[in-house]
Amino acid sequence: MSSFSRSAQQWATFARSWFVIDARMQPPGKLATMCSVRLQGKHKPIYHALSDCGDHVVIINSKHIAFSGNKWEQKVYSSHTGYPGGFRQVTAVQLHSKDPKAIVKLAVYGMLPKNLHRRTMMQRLHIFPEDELPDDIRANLTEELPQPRKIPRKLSEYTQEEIDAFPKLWIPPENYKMQ
Amino acid sequence: MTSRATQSRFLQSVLQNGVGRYVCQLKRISIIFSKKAQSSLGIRDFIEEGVVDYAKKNPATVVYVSPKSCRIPKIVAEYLNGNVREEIVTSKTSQQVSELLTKLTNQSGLDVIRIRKPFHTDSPSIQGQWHPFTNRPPSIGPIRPQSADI
Amino acid sequence: MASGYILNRGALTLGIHCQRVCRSVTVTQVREKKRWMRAYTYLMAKKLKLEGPPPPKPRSQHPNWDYHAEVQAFSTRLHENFSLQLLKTAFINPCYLQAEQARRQGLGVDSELTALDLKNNIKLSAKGADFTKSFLIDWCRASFPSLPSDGVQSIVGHLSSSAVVTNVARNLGIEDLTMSEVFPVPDDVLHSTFMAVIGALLESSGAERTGFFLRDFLVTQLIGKDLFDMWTVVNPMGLLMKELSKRNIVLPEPRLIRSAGASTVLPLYFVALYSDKKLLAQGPGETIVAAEEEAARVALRKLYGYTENRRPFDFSPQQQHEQPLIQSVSSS
Repeated sequence: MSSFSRSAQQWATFARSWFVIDARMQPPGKLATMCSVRLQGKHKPIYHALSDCGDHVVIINSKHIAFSGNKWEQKVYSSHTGYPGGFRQVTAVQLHSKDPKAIVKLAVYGMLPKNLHRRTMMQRLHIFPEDELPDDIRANLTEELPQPRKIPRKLSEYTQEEIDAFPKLWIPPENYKMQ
Repeated sequence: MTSRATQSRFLQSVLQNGVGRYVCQLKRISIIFSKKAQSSLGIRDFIEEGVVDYAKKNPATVVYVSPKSCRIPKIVAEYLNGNVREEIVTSKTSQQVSELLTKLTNQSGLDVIRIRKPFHTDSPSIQGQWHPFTNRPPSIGPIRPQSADI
Repeated sequence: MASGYILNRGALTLGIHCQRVCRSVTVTQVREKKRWMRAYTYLMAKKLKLEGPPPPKPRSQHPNWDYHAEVQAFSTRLHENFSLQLLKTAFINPCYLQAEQARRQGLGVDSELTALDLKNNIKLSAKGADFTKSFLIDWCRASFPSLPSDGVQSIVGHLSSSAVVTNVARNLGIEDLTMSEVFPVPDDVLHSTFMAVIGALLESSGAERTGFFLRDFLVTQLIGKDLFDMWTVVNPMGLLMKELSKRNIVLPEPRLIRSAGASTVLPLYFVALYSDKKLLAQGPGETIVAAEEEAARVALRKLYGYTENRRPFDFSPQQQHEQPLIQSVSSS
C-alpha cells in the first residue's frame, strides 16, 4: 500500500529504534525481560537471529529500582577474581551502593541468549542511575515503554477525603492505645 | 554435495511467459541415432511410429532426425533462452522416448538446479511492509523532556 | 560392479562408461580420462591457452539447420500468422548484404549471373519502430491518464531501449534467424531486426494483432518496475508543486512526523506532506532532506496512479483465437 522506493523501504524496515524505560520503583527482573526482548529484536516481525535486528534500550533511574520481598538482603551476587581465595559474594545492597547500574546490567545479561551476540546487545543497552540523559541520546529516542509494575501510592499521597471515604473495619474507642 | 556447494536459482520464467501469451520454450529437437546399432532400437521405433505425430502436435518445435554411426543415441533439445540439453536415450523403449519428449516440451529452458523458493512475487506485501512505526500511535512531542508522565 | 562390461568403444578416451546392471537397465557414468590420454589432453589445453577459446559460430553454421522450417516454426510459436516472404525479408540486415556482396566479389564470381536477389529490412524496421513508439505511447496514455508527457516518453523510451528490446529478441530466438555480418549479433542490429519483425507483422496481420503482440512481449517487461526507475526526476518536490498547482490544490507543507536515532550514523526520518492540513503522502529517509524527497516521490506516484496497489495491467487473451498453421516439414 505504501509505495516507497525499494531502498527507502528497506532502510525503514531495518532501522533501529531507541526505547526508554523508567526504572523507578520497578523490579529489575521484569525490566530485564522487556529489555532482553527488545535488544534481541524479538518484538519485530522481521526477526531473525542472524540479521542483527536488535534495538537500543535506555534505562533511567536505575538507582531507584525496587526488589520485592527480602531480596535486598538475601540476594547474593557471586564472582571469583581468578586468584586462589578470591571467591567474592556480595549482597544486593552492597552491590547497589557500590555501583547503582550493576544490578540491572547483570539481570539483562543473564536473560540474553548465551551466544556471541550477547556482548553486542549489551553494548546497545544504556543504563543511567538518575534522570539525566546526554543530549544526543535524548535526540535518538523513539518510544517510552510503559512500566511493568504499577507503583502503589504512599499514605502521604492520598488526600484526606479519600482516607475518610475509605471503609473502616472497626472504629477504636477514644482512649484506645495503639502500639 | 550440500545445497550450499551446488548451484541454485530462484523461481522465474523466461520473459514473463504466460502473463501475455504462452510460448512453447522448446525451439528445436535433434534426434541423433544409429541405423543399425541395438541401443537405438527404441529410437528407431519411435521414429517409425511417433515422431510425425509429435511434430504435428508441436508445430512450434523444429524436429531434426539425423541418423549417423554413433554408439550412443541422443536427443538434443534447444530452448529459447539459449540453453541446450542433451539426453542420452540408449536402450529406451519408444514409449519412454515419447514421455521424455513431452517432458522436454513442457520444460522452460532454465537450469535444472535447486530452486530456492517454490514461489515468487513482485508484490510481496499487500498492506504495506512493516517498519518500526507501523501500528504505533502518533508521537505527541519529544520523549522525556524532564516532565514525563509515568 | 565387476559383472558389468564396457559398452562404449571410446569409453576410456572420453571417460563415458555405460554399464549394464541388468537386462534393461544401463547406468552411465562420466569418469576421469585415462593416463594414456594425458599427452593429448595437455596438447589440447596448450593449444586452447595459446589461441584462446574458438570463436562462436552462428546457429546456421552448426549441423541440423533448415531455414525455412525454422522461420515457419518461429511464426507458429508466437501464435501469429506472418507472411513468410515478409518475415524472411525482415531478418536480412544491410550489413549482411554488403558482406555477402564483398565475399562474392572476392571469390571472383560474376556479379550479373549470381546477383543477390534479397531486399534488406530497413523500410520494415523503420515502420516497425514508428508503430512500436506510437502504440506504446497510446497504451501508456490509456493506462496512466494523469501521467505527463515526460513520464510517458521515459517509459516508452525505456521499453523501446536497446537493452530491453535485445533481451526480448534474444529470448524469442530472433538471434538465430538474423542474417548479419558479425556473430554474436551486435545490439543495434538485433534492435533493428526486432523492429523489422514488428513491421512484417504489421503488414501481414494488421495493427490490432501487432498491438497485442507488443503488449504481450514488450509491456510485460514493465512488471515489477517502479516509475522512477525508468524516469529520472531530479527535483521531485518542484515537479509535485507544479502538478498540484495545475490541479488547484494547496501547496504541500512538509512536517517531520517520526525520527529514530537522530544522532547516530543510521538515522531514520519520516516526513509527511500536508496540503491544507490533509495528509498527501509520507516517506522515510536517511536524512530529513532525503525523507522529504521520498515523500514527494510517493505523492507523485499516488497522483499518477503508479502505486503498488493499482489495478494490474490487463493481459487477458484477445477474443478471436487464430488457428495456428500446422505444418510439419521433413528434411534430411
